[in-house]
This record gives sequence, structure tokens and C-alpha cells, in this order.
Amino acid sequence: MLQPLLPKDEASRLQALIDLKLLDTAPEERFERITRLATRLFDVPMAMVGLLDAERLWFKSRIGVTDQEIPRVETFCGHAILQDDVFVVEDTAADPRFADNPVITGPLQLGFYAGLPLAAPCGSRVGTLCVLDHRPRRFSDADRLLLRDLAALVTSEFATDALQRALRQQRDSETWLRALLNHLPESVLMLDESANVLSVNPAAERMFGAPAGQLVGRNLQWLLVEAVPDLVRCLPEGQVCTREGTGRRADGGTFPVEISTSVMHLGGHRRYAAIARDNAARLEETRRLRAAGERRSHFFKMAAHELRTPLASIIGFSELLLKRDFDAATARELLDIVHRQAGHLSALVTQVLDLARLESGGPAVLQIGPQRIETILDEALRTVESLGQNARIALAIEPDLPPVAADPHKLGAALAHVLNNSLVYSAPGTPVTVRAWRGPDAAVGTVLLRISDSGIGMSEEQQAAMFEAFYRAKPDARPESTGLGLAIFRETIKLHNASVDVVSTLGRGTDITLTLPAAAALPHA
Amino acid sequence: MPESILVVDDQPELRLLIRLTLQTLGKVAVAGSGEEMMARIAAERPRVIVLDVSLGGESGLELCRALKDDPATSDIRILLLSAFVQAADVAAGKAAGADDYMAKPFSPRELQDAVNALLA
Repeated sequence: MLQPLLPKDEASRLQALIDLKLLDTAPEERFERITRLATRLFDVPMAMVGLLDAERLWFKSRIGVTDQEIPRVETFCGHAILQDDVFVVEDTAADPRFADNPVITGPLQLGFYAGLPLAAPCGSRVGTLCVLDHRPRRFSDADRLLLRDLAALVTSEFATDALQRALRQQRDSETWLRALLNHLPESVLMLDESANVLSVNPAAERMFGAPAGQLVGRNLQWLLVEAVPDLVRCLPEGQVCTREGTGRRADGGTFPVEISTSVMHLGGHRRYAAIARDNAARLEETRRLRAAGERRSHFFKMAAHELRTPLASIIGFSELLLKRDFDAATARELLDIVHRQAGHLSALVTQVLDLARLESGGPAVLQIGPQRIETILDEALRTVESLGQNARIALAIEPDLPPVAADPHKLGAALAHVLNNSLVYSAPGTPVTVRAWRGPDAAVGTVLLRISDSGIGMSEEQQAAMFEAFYRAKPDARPESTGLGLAIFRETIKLHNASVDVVSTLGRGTDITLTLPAAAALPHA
Repeated sequence: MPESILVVDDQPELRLLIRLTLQTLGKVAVAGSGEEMMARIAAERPRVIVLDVSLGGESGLELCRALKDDPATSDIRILLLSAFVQAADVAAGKAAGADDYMAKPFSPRELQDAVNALLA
């Protein structure tokens, strides 16, 4: 038995067959009709539309045979698709190539075969249309012509399938594109050559505050407060032009906008695709970052200045002490200055680091838990004990206050800075009062804490600057002050989600009131 | 008659340090503010002023500019002393008319040399 050779394009041929999407599908009338016609026209008992798979011949339509498929090696079709034209074996028994083929010797008793390759739309031969008989017979030129016509009907069905698939795909991708445009957060506008709006997406309608009907036909410049140059003029192919400007809404409102345009060609017309973005958030972010950067660099400039100042005393006096002879009393006085300035420097370094850690670390620096207000105040009182004036502090804590959400050490240290100021900037005999009471809004749950003194008070100008790093209301009066205490206080309060309220009158005293969020429960010991 | 030097700084420790440092060069007067400085200038007619750039609320740069702009005081040599040490700070000092600009902290030896040069 002569087995059919594999066509040269077998791999791409099989791919074309898969792309037809006909293998192992149900019978269809459009192919049944053709095989039926073939049996009638040629007066044969058998006709098939066979698709030649890698190992089998599978029948999309078959008349006169019961098998749905047969092995490829036994087929005449395997030979037929190697031909350009009709492949005919008029008497199979007389043809030595097929004499021992099971389809001839087997139950089918095949005596005659005529088949024509069927081409997929891409040109690859994917199967055959064949007519068969149990007896040998003649196949005339007119028969060949007829078979070619019938085969053309089959391949035109293949082409119809491919066309419909392509149409469906295009429809899908159009739907998809439309959905994409509809849901894109950016405004997309299509413009004609003169920058008149041809169509807009819903984001553009929202951005410019008008339905598409009111935007279409307007010029792009009408949507902008001032003309933005170059958006459509002289824009080279393939390049994107991005400009910033001010957008105008239909209600007259304005907003910063960034517009990018690019050229495209649609149906022989030059068109522009414009994408508009509301720039407010980005500009605000840039401004915020710049301000933060300026604040940080100012802080470092001031920190360097403050650190250099005590160093000037330390380096200067120690050099004098090493190089000159002073009497014992003077030498001691100078050493005392060096010692005090070193202490000041050390306090500065600690507080600069504390503040930097609070500012850069954020809430993660704190270990917040439910704390009794008394615990926090104890911490603060212990810190200011070294002033030796704790006897002046009067506590008035409402009983049974809910616990507050706080880091007791950090909040205690922050409160100590306020207590310290109150003690230092008020007359020795006067009291400093610490009150704590439940906030008025029981639902939210807050505890208020007020530190009051009847000291020198602050002017409005001083109050405006009191929380700034390195600000000192009275630099001469307290050289040991770092000017960082209240900056640390404010940063700590911020990280506690607490608020602070300052009431101060020059010569009358200062009230500083904290509103602290209450915590759900006390920690278990 | 010994040379007269005026030290202007709002910090008492620094006034003492600079006075001790410079007293080998001449008579040293001190002032803690701009107002005091003007009084000392009238009384002492100093040849050199060592002026702190940040005098509490006052700007040493502005005081320096005012002295240099006033014909009565423009011949007084001025050394600005500051813990602001960036190139821009030094440039601002020079722009205010200062004859020299020295950074804090400083070595007393170097300050002596610098003031000596201004006296020469």
C-alpha cells in the first residue's frame, strides 16, 4: 500500500484547519446540501467533505459511509490534497498503489475515487470534496468541471465563516474600545484639523461640565481660558504635544489642565486625539513637596546655626584656657561656661533628633495604647522635677475619666515642655494649674487637658510663631532654652490625633488646652 | 592710645570670649544690641567692629549696611561673625559691606589674626 506523503506546508496547513473551527463539530445543512448534490449529480452512492487532520480524515459531511473518521494513512484524500487538480482513481483494483488498501478490500468495497482539494481562505489545503463508488467508473472532463464547481461552493462556505469571524472580532474590539473610552478617567476628545471638537468621552463631559452635544462643534480653545499654542498647529506625525493651561467649565469655573495632542489619519482626514487631565492635584502635590523641602532645609540651616553657637564657646574658651594663663577663679569661670555650653549642645542634639524622628517616622514612632491621664501627667511631672518647682503645680483631675489613646512616655515628655514653660515664664509664687475633664461630646469620646499659668503671656505675634522650631520668645532671658520644646510638643500632639488650643494675653498668662481622643479600654496589667 | 575694638553679640558668653581673645590687640568695648552698639560707637570711635549676624531679633547684616552707608561710620572696619556658614550667607555678608566674614565656631587665634589685619 502506498501511504500518502506529507505536504510541504503540513504545519501551516494544520493551523489553517484549526482556524476553520470545523473539526469535531455537528453536521450542518450548508455542507450536507453539497454532498447530497454531489451524489445526485454524479450518480454515486458516496460523497464526503473530509477535513484532513494530522492522523485522521474527519468528515464534516458524509453520505454513504458510517465511520465519522478514518486513519489518514488509509485515505485517498491524503493523496488528493497533494494534487493541484482533481485526483481520480477510476479503477482502484487495477491501481497497484491502492490494491491492498483496507478501504478497497474492506467492507466499503471502494472501486472508484475522485477528489478535489479544498482550500482554506489562506490558501492552505485543509481537506477534500470527494465522490466514491463501489464499482469502477469513468470520470469525464465535464465531471471534473462539475466537481470543481461543487468544491468552490464548499470553500466559499469556509470563506464566509472567516469573514463572519473577522466581523465579529472587529465588532468586539469596537465595543471594547468604546468601553475603554467610556471608563477612562482621562478626558479624550477627537478634534478636526482646526481643533474643533468632533467627539468626547464621558470623562471629558464631566471635566468640562457639559454633555457631548454642547461640546461637539466647539473649538478646543473655547474650552481653555487662554489660548494654548502649538496644540494642533505644525504638530509632526507620531509626536505628542503636551501643554499646560487653564480649562474652562461650562459653568464658568476654571481648573488647571494638561492637554496632550497627537495626530492621526482617519478616512483620509487629518484628526487630532486630545487627552486632558485635571492638573490641580498634581500641582498641589508639587507645591506641597516643595514647601516640605523648603521647611526641611530651613530646619537644617537653623539646626546647624544653633549647634554651632554653643560650639563657638566650647572651642573658643577651651583654646584660650589651653594657651593662656588665667588666675584660678577666672579659669574656673571659663570652664564653667564650657561645661554649661556643652550641656546645652547635648540637649540640642537630643531634641533635634527627637523632632526629626517624630517628623520623619510618623505615627510608627509612637506606641499608642489606652492610658490613664494620671499616668501621663506623672511622667511629665517627673521630667520637670529638676526645676524644683513642682510644689506650684495644682492638679484638678475629674474622677473616672476614660482612658486616652496615647504613648505615655512621648506624650508625657511633650507635656513637660509646656509645664516647663509655664513654670519658667511665671512668677515664683504663682500656681500652675493642670485640669483634666471629660469632653462635651460623649459619642466621640475625648478628654480635655488644660495647663494654665498666670505668667508673662504671649503677644499674637509670639503665639503665631510659638510652635516653630528654634523660635524663642525671649532669647536673652533663657539661654538654656533650645527653642524646640513646643515644636516637639506640637509634633507629638499631631501624631496623637489630638488638637491644641492656645489662649494667651500679655501680662496675664497662658492657657494651653489639649483635646485627646479617648481609648476603648485600659491595658491589662 | 591703644586701638579700640567693639564687640557686638547678644550672647554674654560670646562677648566675654571675644573680649578675652582680642584684649591683647587693644581696648575692647562690648555691646549686646544694635542700640548699645550705636552708643558705644559714639563713645569709643572704634576702628574695628566684630559684629554678630543674628542679634536676637535684629539683623547684623542690616546694622552693617547702615554703618557702611553712613559717612560718619563708613570707615570703621567690620568683621561679621556668624553661625550661618553657607556660601550664600558669606556672600550676603560681603554684600552688606563687611570687610571680613568669619564662621562660628572659630579659633581665637584666627579671630585675633583677622582683626589684626583689619587694624593694620
